[in-house]
Amino acid sequence: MGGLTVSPAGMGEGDSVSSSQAAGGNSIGGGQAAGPLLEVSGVVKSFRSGGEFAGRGAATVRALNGVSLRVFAGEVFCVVGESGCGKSTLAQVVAGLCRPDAGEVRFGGERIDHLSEKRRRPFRRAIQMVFQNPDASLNPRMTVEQTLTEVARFHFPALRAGAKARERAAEVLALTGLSADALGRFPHQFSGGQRQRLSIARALIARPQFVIADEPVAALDVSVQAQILNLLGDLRREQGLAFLFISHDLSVVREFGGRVAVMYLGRVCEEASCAELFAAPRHPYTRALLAAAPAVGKALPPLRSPGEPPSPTDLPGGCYFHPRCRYAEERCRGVVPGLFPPPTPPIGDGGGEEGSSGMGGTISSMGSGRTVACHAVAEGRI
Amino acid sequence: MKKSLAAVLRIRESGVGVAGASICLFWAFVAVFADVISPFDPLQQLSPLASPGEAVEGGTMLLGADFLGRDILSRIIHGTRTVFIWAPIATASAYFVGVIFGLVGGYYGGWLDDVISFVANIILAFPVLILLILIISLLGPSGASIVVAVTFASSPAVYRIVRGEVLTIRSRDFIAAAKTRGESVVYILFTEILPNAKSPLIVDACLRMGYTTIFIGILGFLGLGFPPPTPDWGGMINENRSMAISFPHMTVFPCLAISSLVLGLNLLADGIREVAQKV
Repeated sequence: MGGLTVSPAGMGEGDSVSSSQAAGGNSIGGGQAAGPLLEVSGVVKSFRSGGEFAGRGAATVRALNGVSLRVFAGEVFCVVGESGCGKSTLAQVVAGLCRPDAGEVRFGGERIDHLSEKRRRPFRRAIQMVFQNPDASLNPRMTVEQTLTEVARFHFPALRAGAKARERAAEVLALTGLSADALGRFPHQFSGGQRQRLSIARALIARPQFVIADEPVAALDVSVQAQILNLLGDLRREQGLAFLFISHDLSVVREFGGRVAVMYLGRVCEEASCAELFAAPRHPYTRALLAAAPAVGKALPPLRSPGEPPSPTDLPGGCYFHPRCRYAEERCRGVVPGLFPPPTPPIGDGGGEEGSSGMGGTISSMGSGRTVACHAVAEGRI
Repeated sequence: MKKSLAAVLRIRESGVGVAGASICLFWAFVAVFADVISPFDPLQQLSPLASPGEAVEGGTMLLGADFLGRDILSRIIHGTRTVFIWAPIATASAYFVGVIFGLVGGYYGGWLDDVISFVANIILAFPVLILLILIISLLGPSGASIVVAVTFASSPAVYRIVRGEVLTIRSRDFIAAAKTRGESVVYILFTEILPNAKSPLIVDACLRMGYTTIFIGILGFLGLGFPPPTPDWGGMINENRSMAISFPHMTVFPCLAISSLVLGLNLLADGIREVAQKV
């Protein structure tokens, strides 16, 4: 954890989390070498939207429909998909902004999604979030010092006395490339890129192990995006942070690297290493997504998947992509495909059958293996 | 401290604001030094029906006397105290109730918000005057009843403003950041949300202080204000209204007092709004 060893003051002493921890001070799950740092399994989340007085006429939006993924310590895990695919809801579930309707979230081996507020607090410190728009994620009425020290004081009682929190705030500002002069200023006195640095500093001051970055560069000028991506990359290397990096922008994901999961309407349809995914996308949706990405000097190809995504209030049966998929067959309309390692193309008899009843939950391979949730791929048709 | 003083002094940037602040400061000065500057005892009966400028024993009645011979100017000067004590208390009380309900209703939303909004709408739909008369008749005329009546009549409007502000602020990401940190609802409401709703509320508080001044005047006029012989602007208009045609000075000057203070507060509110928009 490099510079991130922390006074155990931040963890409520004598609380069940610290006892289950390994000797690593406050790094949760640090002792369990092989297990993933974050494990999301079969998470389902719906929201009621609209509706009039006392909730009449509300529709249910199914944002997550059985999402599973694992992120290991120090790893970068990217989630891509178009808007409305549930990637931000996934971030909210992991960050503890909302509870999943079904499924589990584990951090360092311990289940955290159903914990009481008091017992969740150490995990709230270890999992930090960087939001999309720094204009909205920093309280405009607070100086940088207030914004940073309120986090430090909240998580580390040892920093509540005197000017210790302020010193710590200056430290994290330096880590993000800002000077200590920034402490006395308000967010509106900074540029967009600087504000995103402040937002990152606020995440770092909690000494996290895991950072959720929800579209961290989408609201920034292209000229500044690279700087922020470089900063996040440096922090990953120097601080050993694991990232859940959420983006709709394929070029940004390609830049950031790591493992990539492609989401469509609240399900993961393909997961692979960044290089593999961009070199040889397997799922028809991934292919359509990559083909639709604009690039300099490339004429836009004809649209591979006609139509709009179905409304998340009224999802089709079977594979959610089948209404737009040119490979769709009878089975795709009726049976939900599970996530399996694809048979090496072109021939192969995928083990789609046994997983077909599940909600796309099983990940049969760990580490570098890629998985695809598609009957056509499993059957070797594509 | 230094910063908040600087913020208050920024009112100098607005001409309207300076005018409003001057009028308000003038009346505040009158209220504080009422004993020193008032030429007569406000309760002493000197020369009934004296017209403005009439000389009596011990001085000149600049604004004349009322039907009992009490000096109008002295009664207006002492009446300032009544307004300056009860209008802020009543407004603050309406704010306390309105802000609490507004924060809770706006933040939680759902059925709780539906219920609070429904009650607020019922109160707002009810004619204010009848509401005030009803409450004062139930509680009897006193300063405390005025506070209750004004709170009841004004807090729904405050609730609406606060709720609207909270609805926009609560969806912003710095609130999500506070929630991911695990902050309590009370902390989020009062430390993260309320300071961001501050500027529209200060402007409204200023305007509402004016409304409250008018409310107190109306209650006094209806005989539901402070029991006589307390010097009270609305009460003075009421006591002398039967003679308003023959002796207009008895009612005109208290009316001018109320109007000028309300005007001052409204101009001050405009000035604050103007300064707040400049940033």
